[in-house]
Amino acid sequence: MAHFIYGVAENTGKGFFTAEDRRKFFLRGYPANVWMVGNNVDGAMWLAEKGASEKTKSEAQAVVDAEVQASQATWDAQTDEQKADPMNTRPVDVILP
Amino acid sequence: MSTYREIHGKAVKSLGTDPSAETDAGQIWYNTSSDTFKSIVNSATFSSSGNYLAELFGQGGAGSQTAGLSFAGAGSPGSTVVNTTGEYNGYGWVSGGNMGTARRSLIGCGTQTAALGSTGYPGNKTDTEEYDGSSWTGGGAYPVGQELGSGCGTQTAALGCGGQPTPNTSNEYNGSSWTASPGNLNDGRSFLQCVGTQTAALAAGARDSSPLTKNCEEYDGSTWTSVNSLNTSRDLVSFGAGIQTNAISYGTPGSLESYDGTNWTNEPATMGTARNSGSNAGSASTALAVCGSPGGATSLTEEYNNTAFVITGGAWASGGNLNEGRFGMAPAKNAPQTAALCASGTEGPPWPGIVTSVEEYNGTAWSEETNNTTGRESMAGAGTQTAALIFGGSPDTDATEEYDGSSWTNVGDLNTGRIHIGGCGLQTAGLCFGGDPGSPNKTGATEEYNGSAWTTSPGTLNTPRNTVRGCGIQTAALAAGGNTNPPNTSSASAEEYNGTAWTATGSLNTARQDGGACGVQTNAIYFSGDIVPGSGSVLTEAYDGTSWVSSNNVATARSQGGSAGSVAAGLFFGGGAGGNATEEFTGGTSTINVKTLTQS
Repeated sequence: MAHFIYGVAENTGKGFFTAEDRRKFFLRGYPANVWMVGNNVDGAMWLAEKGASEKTKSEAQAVVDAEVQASQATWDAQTDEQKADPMNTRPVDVILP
Repeated sequence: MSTYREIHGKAVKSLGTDPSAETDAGQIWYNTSSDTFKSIVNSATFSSSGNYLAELFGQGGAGSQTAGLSFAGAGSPGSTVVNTTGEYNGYGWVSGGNMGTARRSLIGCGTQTAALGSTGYPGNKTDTEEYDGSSWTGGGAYPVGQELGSGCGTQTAALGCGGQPTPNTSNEYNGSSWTASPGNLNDGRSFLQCVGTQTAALAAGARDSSPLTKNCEEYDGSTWTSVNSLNTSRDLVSFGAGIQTNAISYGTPGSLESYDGTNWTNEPATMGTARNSGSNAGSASTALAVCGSPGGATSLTEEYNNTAFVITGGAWASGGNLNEGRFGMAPAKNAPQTAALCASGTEGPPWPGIVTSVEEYNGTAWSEETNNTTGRESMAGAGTQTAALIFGGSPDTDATEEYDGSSWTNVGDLNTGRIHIGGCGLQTAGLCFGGDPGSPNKTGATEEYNGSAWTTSPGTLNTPRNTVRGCGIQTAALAAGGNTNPPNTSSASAEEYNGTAWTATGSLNTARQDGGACGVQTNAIYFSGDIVPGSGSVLTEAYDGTSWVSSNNVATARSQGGSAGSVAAGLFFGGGAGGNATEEFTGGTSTINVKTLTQS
């Protein structure tokens, strides 16, 4: 059985996930509104209630990659002076667990 | 019909307010205010607690719910095993000494300061190690190479049973060497739970091949005897706690049942996240479930309490989204969760991508307000939503502005202009510390604002750094994390300021920079941030005035976000890779379980 299930759902703000949700199941957010939840009834119900588009792990990874790669391309297009700011770090790849 | 006085020998009390002590459990009283009969009753519940230090499964466990220990384990099936140890204090985890041999699926027992770990995967180990509260040392070898067994007892009187490849084995440890028990398990198995002592143990459940078994056996120091079975088959290496005559079994599918020495009884408590293959500790009334997952790894920690108190774990929940996503903004650091302020920041790249807008939060939604005078990023803030102070940042590194809830006013400049700084305090008593002053080195310089001008403090951070975060007030502040002078690595250092000088205190367990912080000097949380620039972290740690322990993690990793509020009601908004998201922290609570009695 897969450890986690993945979905894409827009974070609508207050109430999107509650403290009670966090106590019921594992939840973690990633770029491009990708959400990873524990593979149990509560996690699956939450994804369904949020109208999430459920993804396989590889599909979810592709969504994250597209977002990160777009950010990296924007960063790469900056001038050398802009890139030199130590706090303006190049977006790093995100690997889903 | 018998009266309450005839049954109990005393009358029902009439009280204006409800009793609040756990010792009042079971009493019935008449509440004259609500005109109702009430009682305090025990409830059995699981509640989330501070996450473990890593996402693991297959650890060994020892100790109690307020002094627990979890050691070794692995990150996910097939991944490298670890030798790390975590110590739990009832709220969260801190790192302990590393085991000599990395492994998972081992036997664990004893206490936090006198624990025992033995056997394990890979390679059917015989290695035994003893923990003294700080370090592990080698002990006597297990009689057979084994993994996936279970153990109970103490460091000097332990029992190990079951496992692979010798599923019916039973062995006893005397503090220096293992010897075979007089009797073996009748139903040899692996993945089982074993609780109790060396001379009064209980083995329950699991299997060494499909299907799962409910079988249980008791050990009396010489012989294993089959006893009543579990009501529910639980998955591999589920959790167990207690003693032979008062035990609990819990784990996937998430239910819990109790054993009274004769029968197993299903209890209403259900795990927040059903799982197995983690470590456990505690007793039949106060237990822990640490990490584990259905076949995978998590950092989840849950407490089980059968008590007159209703315990609710702290957690982060989503809040209203910022209208304009950003990072490097100035928050009003002493604003509450329901009345926060976010000023300026950046949405780069392309750099600097300055955002000039200002937003106010009302506990539900952010609304755009009057822009501050100078748009900038990597600055700091102090005060509240209606009396805020923002200072420093790029490009106007010494500029300071005051906000009265509707308009901004330029006031006295910082003496040392800087970016990536820490700040806290009030509008009339602000504090600025650390940052990049424009020279090659980061600074520890500290300045105090009195409502009109900044004065350089004689105290400087002992560890100069930028991207440091702080909370508290001008005379009692806390600074944590950041990025130090070359080699420019994240810092775990934390320091307390008394209005004159900074003093080093307990360090974060995980060095980070550009996280969030809220609370007061002696009761604070630090969350998220970058372990290395751009990496992002979801970790939250709580500070009690002395040391840091793990707490419940944020949902989305980010850095350079804004933070405000308290440990009971914290706020984290925006941040790199967090976009416009807001998260609200609700601290854990413990309240007496008063029930109103009805006839139905």
